Amino acid sequence: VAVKDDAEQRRARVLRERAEKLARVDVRTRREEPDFEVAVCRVGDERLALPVTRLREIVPLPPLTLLPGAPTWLLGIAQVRGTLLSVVALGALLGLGGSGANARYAALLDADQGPIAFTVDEVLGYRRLYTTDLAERGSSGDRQRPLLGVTQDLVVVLDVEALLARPELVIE
Amino acid sequence: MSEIDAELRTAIRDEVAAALDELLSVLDGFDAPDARPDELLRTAFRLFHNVKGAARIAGLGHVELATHLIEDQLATLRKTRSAPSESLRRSMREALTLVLKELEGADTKASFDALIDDVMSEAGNVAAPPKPTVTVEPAPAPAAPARPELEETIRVEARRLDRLMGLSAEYLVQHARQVERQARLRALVERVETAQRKNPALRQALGASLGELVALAREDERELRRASQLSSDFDSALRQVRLQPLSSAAAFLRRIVVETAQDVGKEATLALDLGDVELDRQVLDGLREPLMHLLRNAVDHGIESASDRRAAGKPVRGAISIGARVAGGMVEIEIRDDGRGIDRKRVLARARELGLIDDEHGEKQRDLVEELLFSPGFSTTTEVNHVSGRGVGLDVVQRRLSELGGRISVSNGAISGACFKIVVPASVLLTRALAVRASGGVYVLPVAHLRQTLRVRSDQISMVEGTGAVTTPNGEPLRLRWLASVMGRERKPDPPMLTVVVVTDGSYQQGLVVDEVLGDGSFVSKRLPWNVRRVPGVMGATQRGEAALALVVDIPALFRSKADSSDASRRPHVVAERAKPRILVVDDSLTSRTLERNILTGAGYEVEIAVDGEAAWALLDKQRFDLVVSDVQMPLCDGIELTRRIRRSDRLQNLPLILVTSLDRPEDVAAGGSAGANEYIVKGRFDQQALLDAVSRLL
Repeated sequence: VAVKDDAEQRRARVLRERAEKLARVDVRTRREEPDFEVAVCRVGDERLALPVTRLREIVPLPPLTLLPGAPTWLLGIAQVRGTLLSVVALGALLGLGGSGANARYAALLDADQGPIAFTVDEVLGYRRLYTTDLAERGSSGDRQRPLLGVTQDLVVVLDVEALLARPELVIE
Repeated sequence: MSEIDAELRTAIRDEVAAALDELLSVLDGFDAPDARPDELLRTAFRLFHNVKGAARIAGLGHVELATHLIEDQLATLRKTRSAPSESLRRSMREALTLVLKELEGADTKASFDALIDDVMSEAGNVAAPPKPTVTVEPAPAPAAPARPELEETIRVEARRLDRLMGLSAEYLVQHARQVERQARLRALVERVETAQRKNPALRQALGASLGELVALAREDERELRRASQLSSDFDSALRQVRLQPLSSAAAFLRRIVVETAQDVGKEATLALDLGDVELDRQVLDGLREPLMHLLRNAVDHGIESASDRRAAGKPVRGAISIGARVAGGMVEIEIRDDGRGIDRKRVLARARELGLIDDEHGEKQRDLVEELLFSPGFSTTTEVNHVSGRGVGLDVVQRRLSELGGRISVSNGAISGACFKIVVPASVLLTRALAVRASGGVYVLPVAHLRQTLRVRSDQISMVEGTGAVTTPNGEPLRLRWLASVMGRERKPDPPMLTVVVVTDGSYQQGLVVDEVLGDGSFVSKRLPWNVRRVPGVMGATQRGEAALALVVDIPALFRSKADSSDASRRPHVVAERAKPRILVVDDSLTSRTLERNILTGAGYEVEIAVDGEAAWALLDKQRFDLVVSDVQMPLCDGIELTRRIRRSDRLQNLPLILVTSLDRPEDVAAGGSAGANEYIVKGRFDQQALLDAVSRLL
C-alpha cells in the first residue's frame, strides 16, 4: 500500500468532508448500510463516479511518454512509484469527448493483471451510494458504456469491472 | 509417484540432469580413438549407482529397478573391459531421460517397463530376472558432489538476489541523477564566482559565504565521485554473484538433442565447447527457449535423413556443435550443424508464392533470405517450414533474444550445414545503451545493436527505392530511418547536418537519424504495462534523468518492418524553402569585414559580423551558423585559436571554416590547416570569386 504524503492526505480529507457535506441526505431513514462508496470526478462536462473497490489512489497526472501507433485514448505510459502503467484518457475511451489533454489527475485502478490509470479533470469528492438509488442501466440510452447507472443528481456511476474487462484496453 | 517435497525433487532432478550430461560425454568417449573403456565404464557405473540411490529415496520403484539392471550390465562389461552395445547405450540414455520426465511429472511407468524388457533381453537371459523388489547394498549419499568442492558455498534463493539486484539498479539510476544535479550546482557556483569578480559590491555582500559555498561544492563533488566508485563496485560484485556458468545448461542442451533425435528417428551428437563463459542467471534462463528451438530445428530440419546423408557421403550421425566465447561484456554463442543448410532458392520461391516479395527482388536475395527466415508471417505455417527447411519459431527466437538485449544471425557453413550466431549481454538487468533525442522524445538504443555514430550532410542523401540513403566513410551504402517518424512523432525539417546512429541486427545495418546523442549509460529496462502487449519497435521503457520515461528501441524489429513507399520514416523531410545559409564573418579590420560582408550578402547569404575571436565565440554559442570566415591576426583570440576552439567543441566541430589573411607564409598556411581550417585564402590574392567559390564548396 502506497504511503501518501501529508498534502495528499489533507487534500483527500478536505475533499471527502466537502463531498459529505454536499452529498444529498436522503430524507428517508435507512436501516441498511450504503451499498458502495464512489469517488466523484469531473471528466469533460460530465460527473463520473468510480466505485472505490478497484480504486488504488488518485494522483496528479505524472509525466507521460508517448507510444508509437497507440490509439488516441492511450495518452502514454508513465511510472508511478516505480510501476510502469498505461494512462488512458477516460473521456475519449468512453466517447464522452475531450482528448484528455486538460486532465490533471490520474485515477489508479487495480485490474486483475496489474494497475492502469484513467485521467480525470477534477476530483469532486467521495460519497456513499445505495444500488436502489440508481436509475436503470440503459436509461442513459447508450449500451456501449460500462455503466452501473445514474444517480438522481445525474452522476454517472461507472461499472469498473466492465471497464477493466473491455477487450480494446489491451493493445496487441 | 510418492509425495516428495519440492526441494528434494529439485535436488534429485539436478543430480540426474548432471548425470545425463556426464553420461552423454562418457558414451561419446567410447567412440574416441584413444578410448579407455575401463575408466568410462567405471564412471557410467557410478552414475547409475547414484541415480539408483536417488530413485530409492524418491520412492520410484521402477526407476530403481531399471537403473539396477543397467548397473548389473555395466558390472559385467567391466570384467571384460568391453564397450557397451548400441542398444545398451540407448537404454542408458533413455533411462536418465525418462527419470527427468518422471521428475517433471510425466507418467513414465510404461516406458520404464519397455526399457526394463530391453535391458533384460540385452542381458541375454544370462542373469536370472531379478524380483520386482530389489535389495541393494547401501548406496552412497545421492547428493554427494561428483567433483571436489573447492570453496565453501551457500545456497541463496534466486528471488533474494533478484531483489538485491533490482535495488542496486534503482540506486545507480538515483545516483546518476545526483551526478547530474552536481554538475548543475558546479555550473551555478561558477556563474556566481564570475559575477562577484565583476561586481565589487556583490563580492563584499557575499563575503566569506562564497568561499564556503565553493569549498562545499568541491567537497560534495569528491564525495560523489567516491560514491560513484563504490556503487559501481557494489553493482559489479553483485553481478558476479549472479553469474552462472553456461556449462550448467549442458545437460539441458544434450537432453534436447537426444530427445528430438529420438522423436524424429535420426541420429545426432552434440559437441559443446562452452569454455568458462559465465552469464547472469536471468540471461541464462532467457537463453533456454531460443537454444531449445535452434537445437530442435537443427535435428529436425537441418540434419538430413540417414539415407540422404549416406548419399551425400556424410557420416550417418549428424554433428551439432555449440561454441561460446566472451567478447567485451557480450557473450557470443554459435550453433552449427553439418546438415543440409539453408536452401536460399526454396526460401525465396516460397516467399514469392506467399506474395511477400516480387520477382524484382531476385537480385538481392542474399539480403532477403535472412529477413524472411526471421519474419513472423513466414515461419508460422508448417508448410513453409517444410519448404524452407528451417523456420520453426525463428521469429520467436529473435524476439526472445531481443528482450534480452541480444540478437541472432544465420549463415550457411563453409562446407555444409547452417550456423546460427547469437550475441547476448552477459547481464541484462542493466542494459548498456545509448540515449538519443528525436523530436522531443528520449529513446535508448541497446549497445548490442550499435555500430557507430556518423554526421551526414542532408544534401548528400539520395533516394534508393523510396528510402533515403547515404554512403558511409567506408564506402558502404547506408539506408536511413528517421527515428522520430518510426516513433510516431512530428518531425522537424532536417538540419544541414544529420546525426546518424548506425545500428545492426547482426547481419545488416541501417542508419537511425536522431536529433542529438545524449550519451551512454546503463539503464534498467522495464517491460511495457500489461495492457500493451506489443508496440512495433519498442521493447520496454526506462527512467533516465528526465521526468518522462525513455522508450527502449527494439532494433531488430526495425529491420523486420517492410519497406513501404508511404513510410515517412524512410524519407528525408522535404524542406519547402531552404533558409539562407548563415555566415559569420570575423575580422578586426573594418574595411576587410565590410568588403567580405558585401560580397557574401550580394551572393544571397545572411551575414553576421564579429570583431575578434572572442566576440565570434560568444556569437557561435548563441546562434546557429553554417560557415565561418575568419581573419587570422586579431587581438584577444586570433583566427587560429578560434579554429582550434571550434574543432574542440562537440557541437561545432564540423562547422566549415575559411581563414582569410594577408600572411602568405607556408608555416601560417600550415598552422591554419593543422588547427582545422577547411580553406585558407590569402588577401593578396583576394578576389570576390575566390571567396565565393570556397564558400560554395563548403556549404
